[in-house]
Amino acid sequence: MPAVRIQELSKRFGDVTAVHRVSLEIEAGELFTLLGPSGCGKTTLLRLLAGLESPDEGTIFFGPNRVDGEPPHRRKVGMVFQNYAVFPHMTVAENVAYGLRQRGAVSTELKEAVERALEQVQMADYAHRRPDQLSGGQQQRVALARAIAPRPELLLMDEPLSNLDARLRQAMREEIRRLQRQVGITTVYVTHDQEEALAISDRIAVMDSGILRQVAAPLPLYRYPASQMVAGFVGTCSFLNGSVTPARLSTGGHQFERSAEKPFQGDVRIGLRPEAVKLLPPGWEPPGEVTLPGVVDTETFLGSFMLVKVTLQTGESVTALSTEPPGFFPVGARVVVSFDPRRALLFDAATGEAIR
Amino acid sequence: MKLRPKWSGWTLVGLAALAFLVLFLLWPSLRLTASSLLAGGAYTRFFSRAYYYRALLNSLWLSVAATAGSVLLGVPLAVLVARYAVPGKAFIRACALLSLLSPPFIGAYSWVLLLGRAGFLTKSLGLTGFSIYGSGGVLLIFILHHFAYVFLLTEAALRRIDPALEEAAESMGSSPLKRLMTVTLPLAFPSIAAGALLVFTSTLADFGTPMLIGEGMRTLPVLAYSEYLSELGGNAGMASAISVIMLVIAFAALGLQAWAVGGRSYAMQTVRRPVVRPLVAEVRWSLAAAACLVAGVAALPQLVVLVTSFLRTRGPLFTGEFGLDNYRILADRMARPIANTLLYAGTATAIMLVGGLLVGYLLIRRPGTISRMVDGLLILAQVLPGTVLGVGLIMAWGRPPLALTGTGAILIIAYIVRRIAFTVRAAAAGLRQLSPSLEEASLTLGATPARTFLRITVPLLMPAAVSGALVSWVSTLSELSSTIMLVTGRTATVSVQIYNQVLTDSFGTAAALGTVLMGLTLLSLVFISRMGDGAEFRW
Repeated sequence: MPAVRIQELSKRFGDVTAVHRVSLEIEAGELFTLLGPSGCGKTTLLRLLAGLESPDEGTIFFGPNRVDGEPPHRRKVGMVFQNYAVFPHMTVAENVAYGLRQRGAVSTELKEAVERALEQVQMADYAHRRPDQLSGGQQQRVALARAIAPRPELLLMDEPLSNLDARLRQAMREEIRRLQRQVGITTVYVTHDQEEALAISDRIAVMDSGILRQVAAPLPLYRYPASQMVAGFVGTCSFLNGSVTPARLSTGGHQFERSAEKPFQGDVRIGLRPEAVKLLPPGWEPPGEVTLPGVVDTETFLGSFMLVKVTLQTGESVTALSTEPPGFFPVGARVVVSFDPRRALLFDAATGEAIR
Repeated sequence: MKLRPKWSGWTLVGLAALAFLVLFLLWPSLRLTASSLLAGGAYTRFFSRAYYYRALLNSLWLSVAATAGSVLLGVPLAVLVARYAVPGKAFIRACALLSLLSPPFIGAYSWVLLLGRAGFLTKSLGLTGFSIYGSGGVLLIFILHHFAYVFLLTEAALRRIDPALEEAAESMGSSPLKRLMTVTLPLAFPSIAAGALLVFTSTLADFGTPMLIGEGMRTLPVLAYSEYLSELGGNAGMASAISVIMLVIAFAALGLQAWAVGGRSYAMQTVRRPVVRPLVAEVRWSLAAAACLVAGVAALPQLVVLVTSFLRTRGPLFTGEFGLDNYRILADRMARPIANTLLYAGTATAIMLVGGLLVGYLLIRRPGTISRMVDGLLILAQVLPGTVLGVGLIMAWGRPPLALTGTGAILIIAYIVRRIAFTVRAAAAGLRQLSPSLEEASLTLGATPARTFLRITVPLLMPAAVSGALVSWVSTLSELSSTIMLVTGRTATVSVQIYNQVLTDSFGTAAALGTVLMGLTLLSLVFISRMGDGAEFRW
């Protein structure tokens, strides 16, 4: 039985539909991420799970129990907020004890449980500090300890790392992952950061405009996005206009051979991941590859690699990953953009759906 | 939190607040309006006889001039203190606060002692042909007593403005004066306008000052009072009509302010301290001297009250010797008013604290029809002149079977109606700064909504609510304009006794009572600032 089952869930605020007929299942022990641009409904969905919002339609089950009519304090969830929401008038230990007390813990087991939870987030030494004496990262650890201490059925995390700086964010996400595995708690994690989602999740649900677009594990999601929207949101992706027949791919006034299994025919959007694109000197035409001439527009140095943006003759632009040293493709240089048509993602230009 | 059962405890809180305001604010106002309309020609008489409409014109020009004067004095002073390196800032701020400590009629009486016909300064400086009496004196005292509202609100707003905004203007090459006029002051405008409205409504309603030194100058509150209370020719219909006219003016001022501010609010949370600019030495010293002089003059009445309370008197005359005679009189005859003031203001404040927390929460976290109605009535309560409320309460609750007039209860009710808005607004402002996720965290941790309110919301809101309640308390201590309508001998308060003592030339006793009032207020203010420093939770 799935730990969480959502069926046809909808939530509207006035004229705005924040969540539209979402159905999904979350397995026990899974770290399940809701990913999407801001305003896509991911936080509303999380709040519906917590009971902080009530749905207009649809049902939510935690295991065998239907909970969508239950108020938050009866749902046995733990929640971690973007702004930490550590109670400023209580010490760290009192914060962690708060939820345990509500669930009727007696004093001896209370003390033990508080200590255990603080040890799990490496904050045992700070038990008697006040929150205003802690850094943002430490406050978020306290919030995490507070949420898991009462052993909730479900841990909900609402962009827990977005107020932290980049380095701390990376360390914390590894730690959250480790802790989540160790405790084995079913977790729903909301983020707008696709890199964070890919790094941390067992499965990712991509949302847009209140609609669930795709649910998949990180690798399949990146490799086989179900739509142009997902391809564009998860990872970097350049898009070109083109058209296909089962045997041919046309783009930028050129025609290239291809061998397709699906009989789709018509206008397409061609999606190119940076690592699927090669940059070559002008005039090169490797056999079997699609080659398009263009001019280097910008190069972005990212440490171990570069992203080079090339403007094609059609005016479209393509971003390629390059491991050459900076300046190898200087701005303004003529280059050839080359890719294997089998590594291109194809989307129906009319619907944005993937063509497989 | 959108999860709301149709009926919750909050509906009851909302209905209770609504019932209270309807019974003791809306109903009296409506009774008043009805009585003014039913009196038969009250309005016609008002607008056709010079005796009446002169009072309207007097009130209007006095309040407009006092507001303009307060803005012209308060805003430059605020800019100087907030933006430039001048000496004596602490002195100026302290004087501004001090000048608000006592009701304006105490100020009026102090100025009589200083600049009256036999005043201390009049005699020692040999001023002839000059007198504090009359409309000019009333205006001067209004400005001196009220510009501190504009100064304090504007200065606080200036300190909240993010310095980056002014630096941006500077980097684009705008001159200091242009920067002030196009960036700084527009950003502070909502606060300046709030201060101006406060000055306008409180001078419009001020009853004591023109009564004491107006020398027969009729203003609307004076007229309403005399029409209502005079035995001969007293006319309740006319008093009601005058009250309604005051209410209309107060609402017009509120509308004007709301229109001018146009819904703008520049909520800024800046961690950077504002940039304080240096000034050339001569400019610095002359500006500082002028500012200190103005502030010192505004606070002078407090000093006068303090000093004269220790002077011996023979009848209406001061003998020039020091002694504690006045305080002995206080102990003999004024114990009851002092106890009354403490009891009524204390009870009202306790109710306002609890009510303010609940209603503040309702307004912010439970928006809806009831919240909007309560909010609207609170705005009415804020602009309603005290005299008007007094007359209205007498009309609505002066007859059996529910005759409340003459009891302490009606005073407590009047104080709550007049001042609870301070506490509600303070609690609401505190709640707006409090992230809802704190309460949500508590709910997800298994605490019921009631427990969440008591364990999380109330403790975190307490500092804001208490400072709001203390403002309510301080302004209730010296409340005169509705009290004077509602007291009987038995329920007389300190402010009424001061007024009576001044009218009967017992200046010494009045000064001693005034000092007691000031002492109480000062203690409360110290308490407020301690709260503000220590227990405020940054969130």
